[in-house]
Amino acid sequence: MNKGALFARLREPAVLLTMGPVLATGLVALYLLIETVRPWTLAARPPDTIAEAVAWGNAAQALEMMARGADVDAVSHVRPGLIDVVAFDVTPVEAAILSRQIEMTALLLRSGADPTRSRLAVCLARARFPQALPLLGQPESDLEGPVAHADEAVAACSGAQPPR
Amino acid sequence: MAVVSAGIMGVFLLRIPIQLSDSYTEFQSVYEGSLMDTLRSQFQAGPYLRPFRRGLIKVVYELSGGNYQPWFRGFQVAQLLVLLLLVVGALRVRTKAAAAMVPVTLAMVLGIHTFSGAILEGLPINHFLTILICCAAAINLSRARPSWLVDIAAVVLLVFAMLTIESGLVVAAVLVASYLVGYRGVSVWAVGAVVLTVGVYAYGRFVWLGGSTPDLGERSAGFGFRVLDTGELIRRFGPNPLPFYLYNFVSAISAVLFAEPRGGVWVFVDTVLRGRIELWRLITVVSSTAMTGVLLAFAAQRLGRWRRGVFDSDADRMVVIFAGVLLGNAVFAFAYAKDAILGPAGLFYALAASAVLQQFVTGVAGLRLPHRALAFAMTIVACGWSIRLMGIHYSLQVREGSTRNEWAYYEEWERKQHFEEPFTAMETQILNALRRQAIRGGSRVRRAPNGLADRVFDITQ
Repeated sequence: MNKGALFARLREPAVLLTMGPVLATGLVALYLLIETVRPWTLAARPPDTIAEAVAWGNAAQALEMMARGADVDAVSHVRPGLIDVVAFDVTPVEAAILSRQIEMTALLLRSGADPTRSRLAVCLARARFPQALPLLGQPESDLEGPVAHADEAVAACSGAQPPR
Repeated sequence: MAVVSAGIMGVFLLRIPIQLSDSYTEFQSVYEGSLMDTLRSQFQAGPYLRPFRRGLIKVVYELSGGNYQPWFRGFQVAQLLVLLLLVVGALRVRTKAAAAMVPVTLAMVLGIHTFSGAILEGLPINHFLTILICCAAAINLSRARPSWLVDIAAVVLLVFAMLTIESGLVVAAVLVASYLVGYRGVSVWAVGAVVLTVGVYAYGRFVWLGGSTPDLGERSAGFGFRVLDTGELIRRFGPNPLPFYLYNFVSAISAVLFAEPRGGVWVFVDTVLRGRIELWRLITVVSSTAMTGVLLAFAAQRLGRWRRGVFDSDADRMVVIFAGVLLGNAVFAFAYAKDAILGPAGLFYALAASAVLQQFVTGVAGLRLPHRALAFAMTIVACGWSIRLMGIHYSLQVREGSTRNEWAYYEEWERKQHFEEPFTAMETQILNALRRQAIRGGSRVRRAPNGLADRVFDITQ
């Protein structure tokens, strides 16, 4: 078929009208291809560490990682954008407190996390999430002033002593 | 095409564990006794009469042998495949151009918001999906070659559907409307039997069993721009609930035609008034409204002939059947305009739209619009619906993550349920098996806050 005949064929009503559906089908096929080849293209990479899973609120994945032998008290990296715009190196319990998740904090402690192995947990809870203090064996207290930003809380607590 | 679509969606579905809420309690109800005991226990007074719903759960539960997730999710995939095969069967594609409409039709069937409840919820057997299959089967029977077997199948289908969930009565609307527009697969005697069966159901349920309809105190519901709790509903509409029921009826019709309101709440209108339009809402409302515009334009052209009882083509018939199903289905949303209840209307919306698009493409519809303008409109409609189809797959991924998390927080759930008695050994065994299967699978949640997908896809489903 020569060029002129091809354009004439493309201008036929039936062909013109089916172009949209064909384009839409291609769009769906492209989406499925992306999902297969690089699943997080339209979203974000899945969590790599327990602390990231916790920061994300993905409790099931945190439990699964623990079941596979990951240390629930180990300090691990949390990429920017999950807790705050900056990255953090924190334990899962600290990540739960920084992201202000009470049920996640309780779940981690129930699942074997040891709050005494966290250097910052109590201090972070005082600065950012006092509701978690009773879970850490501390008396509940009110926040003094507004909730601190996560990075400010970590910076302020970095010199804190481990809880007794 | 149906097999491919069901297969792809099936991969997403099989990853989702059995959900804790709405599903675990069903297991508690079926693990003891025989199938007959389960069925018998469901024939009772009250707002619901759904013996086959729990009966089906009992059957799959017994077959699963404790391997719950693959069996129940596998059953849902099988249901999806059957539905799509029936849908493609109902399309009667005869030309290449019409064949090009099949993907768009499937995108509409799977991407419409009234379908999401049939696929995202486990329950653990999704009765909304069961009813969609029954409706698709009913239209196929109506267009089949007449025989006494088809007649018997039509009545059995109705009985099964209406005893699965109340909205199964819509099957009767499909059969009657199909006969009225000229489909003669089901004979006039069988259509009479269908009407009689509905009458017997109404008598049996409301007179013999002393059943009732859901009242205002049953659950919260959308009204205007927000959701009203049961207390507020009773306060505002307790003395005279008719205006509220009428609101839900009209909302249900509008929800199918324009994808607004959702659950009785006019969220899109609200966001427009506030100047905070969300892209996914815009895509949803524009694609539905554009398609409805095409249907209305077609209907306006044919209304005169329909009034004289002349139905020239499948498109004429399908649009009129859709109108009947929409009205019948909206009645079941009188107490609560839930999207999933409107599943049958959504299904026939897609079938009617497909039949009309086929006519446009094959040039039979007698268009008065320039083809290029129509092609442009068709592209907008098709792309909008394709995005919605992708969105339902994305929602399945989100649901996978949320269901796994639900099981991770099982202790909190149990505390909130205030169970009066401790679990039996069998209940504990089921619970542990479900939880193990849910956590073990490994979550592949890919939802990122403020990611592109969150802006384009409807993840509120």
